[in-house]
Amino acid sequence: MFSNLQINRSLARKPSMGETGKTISEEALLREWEEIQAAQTNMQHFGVLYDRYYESIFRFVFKRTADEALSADLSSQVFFKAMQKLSTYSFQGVPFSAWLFRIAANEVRLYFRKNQKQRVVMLEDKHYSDLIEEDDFIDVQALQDAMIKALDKLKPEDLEILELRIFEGYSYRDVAEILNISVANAKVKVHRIVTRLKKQLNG
Amino acid sequence: MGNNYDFRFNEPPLNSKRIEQHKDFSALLQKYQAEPAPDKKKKRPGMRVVWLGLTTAVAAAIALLLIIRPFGSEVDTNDLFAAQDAYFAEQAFIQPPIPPANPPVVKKTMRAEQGGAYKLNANLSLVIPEMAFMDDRGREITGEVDLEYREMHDPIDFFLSGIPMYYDSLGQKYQMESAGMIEIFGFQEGNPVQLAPGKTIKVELISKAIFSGESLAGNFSLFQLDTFQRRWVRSDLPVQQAINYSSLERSADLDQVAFLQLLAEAEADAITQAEQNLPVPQKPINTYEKPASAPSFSLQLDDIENADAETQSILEQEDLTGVWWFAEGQSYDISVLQAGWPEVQLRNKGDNLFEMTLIAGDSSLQLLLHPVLVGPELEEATEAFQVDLANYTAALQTWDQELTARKKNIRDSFALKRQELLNEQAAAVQSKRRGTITSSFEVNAFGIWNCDRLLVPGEVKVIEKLEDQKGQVYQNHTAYLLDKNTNTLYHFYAGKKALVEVPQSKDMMIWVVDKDNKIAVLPQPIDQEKLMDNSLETLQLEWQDIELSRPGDIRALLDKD
Repeated sequence: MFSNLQINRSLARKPSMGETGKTISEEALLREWEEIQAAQTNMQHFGVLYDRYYESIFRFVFKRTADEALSADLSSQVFFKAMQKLSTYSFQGVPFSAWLFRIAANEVRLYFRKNQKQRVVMLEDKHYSDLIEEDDFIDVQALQDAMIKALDKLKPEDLEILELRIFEGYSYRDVAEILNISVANAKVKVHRIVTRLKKQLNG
Repeated sequence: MGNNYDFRFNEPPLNSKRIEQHKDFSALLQKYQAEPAPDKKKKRPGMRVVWLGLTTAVAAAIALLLIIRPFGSEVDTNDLFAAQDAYFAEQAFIQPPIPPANPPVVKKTMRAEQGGAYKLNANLSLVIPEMAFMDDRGREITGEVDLEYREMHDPIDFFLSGIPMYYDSLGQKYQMESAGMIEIFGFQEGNPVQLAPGKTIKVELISKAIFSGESLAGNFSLFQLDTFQRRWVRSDLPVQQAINYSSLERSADLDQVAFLQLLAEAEADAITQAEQNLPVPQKPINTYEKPASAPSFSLQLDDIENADAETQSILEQEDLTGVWWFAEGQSYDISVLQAGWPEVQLRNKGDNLFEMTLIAGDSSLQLLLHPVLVGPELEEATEAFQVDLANYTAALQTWDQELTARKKNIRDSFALKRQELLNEQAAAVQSKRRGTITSSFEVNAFGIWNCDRLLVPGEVKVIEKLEDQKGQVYQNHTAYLLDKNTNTLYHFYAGKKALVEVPQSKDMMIWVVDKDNKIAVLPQPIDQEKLMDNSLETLQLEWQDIELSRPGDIRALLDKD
């Protein structure tokens, strides 16, 4: 039934983790580093960074919780931890948001581990078109069932990387930053998971 | 829903306004202030900095970026850089090598609500505004405040204080030449205080030091030491400086590297211009020699129609009947000539060269035609060509000699300019100028502040070992290099080998401190040429069996001037 199913991995719709999804220039990175240093001196200056990234962090968390109030709590926790750790932050030439997303990913993981709840995975119709060839004849309900079955078998860390790269369209560099792994490692992991997923769907 | 995850399909997205409603930075800040980072209380206040000049600093340093490390050099050198970085990363960032001789802190008590102007000693004055201090909760402070300060003016001060004298620009290190450094903190009843927002302390610092003979004015910036990030941070706060000797001015405010670069560009331009002004003689073309690959053909020109007057005139004057032709330097299909062309135009270009244009409606083909000569005509033409060729060869030789002479003049002229510059530099370096430089600036936080300029990195030398007269090899030590012509102190890692940045100097001292606070030092100053000499593999030090705890003794030992 899914013999022609193709996993399309060229989905880098988000070129960076900036709040607007635009590529962050080196100059902007340096300007942001100045803002971070200002915040390191006086935490009141952290407000600029909070305003800039609150919504994207909130959405990141919401996609994994589907709970507005919980997302608000966890987002606050993300920024609180960022403030506590800010003195240890040093400029590495990557957007500050990478660091925030990493904290957010950790907070989400921690929450579900502590509360032993099922982690939410949000899928949208558009993901089907990302995952299959357009001219295939597909029974959508059957595909949905098959997808759930296949994704449900994934380990949490595999699902997380797939979610970041395939469903949310982060670049490999962003994925690597969020998960604190190398870009090469991210590529290999995604490739293996997608291959496995294809096998399961085809089987 | 799956067994392990809660799959949701097509959940409606939240709109931005709704998310906005959850934002509350004030509450977050309050929470943070009530519950700061666990290690925050251990930190000394006033040492964090705002670096507003980062972009400028990066731009300023970028010209130096490519110079400091020998890219593409041997792996061995890179390993040594890595070992050096790893070693210093493990060391305390500020590490007085001989603790008893660490420059002492001096205390000055003042009333916070009054402020005041204080001449603390011959070299240091402070102006402190009233109500300048706050506690770590941001509350204004009144009553007595103790200012604790110390000054570092010269390489021995820098050595004894253990304060590093390099600037890290995105991983690249530059030696800093100082025009004076001050460390200042404030305390009330033993608790650290901070400078209130908008308040600054005016500092006037007089450094008595040896500087190289270059112009000093305008080259120094203010830096603050960020001990958490383990780096100097360039401040945008301005520095006013006065120098009490007549400095050696350079006409443009160019540094040596930029000036040499400009000279090189000007030299290249002059040579290009010389080449353009002396045109190369034109090689005569053997117009009669048909290339082997060129097809030859005859033309049936007597049948043409609609020939213009010039063509008619040529046909009348020249006997072209039976002449074989070839076309010069053009690629064409011989078969197109066989097609009937109703109109032909001929133009005589001289020397048996004809331009022929074949026209048929909107199509046309233009060819330069040479007659294929045979017999006596060919011999005559060949002879003429040989004469032209001989003339050309002679002209080419004359041209080559003239151009070589002109280029030599240009190169000599620029070499002279370069040498003059280097002589000026060398003279400036040699003319040690002992004088005072007064730096006036305002600081907006407590901490360690330094008036500095960044030095162009020197060459790098690998030393096999540092050894003293007893055969003791110094490995896993911090070694120091003092260039007596600049107001800085280099340090490097003496590991299994040592990687030394060697400044352009004729007067350098190198030493290490052993675990007993005793010093092993070069017996004599060394110059750049000798230190860079490939045959020098071991630095032979003399271990000094002297108890060193007083700065004066150490100064006498190291600063033999």
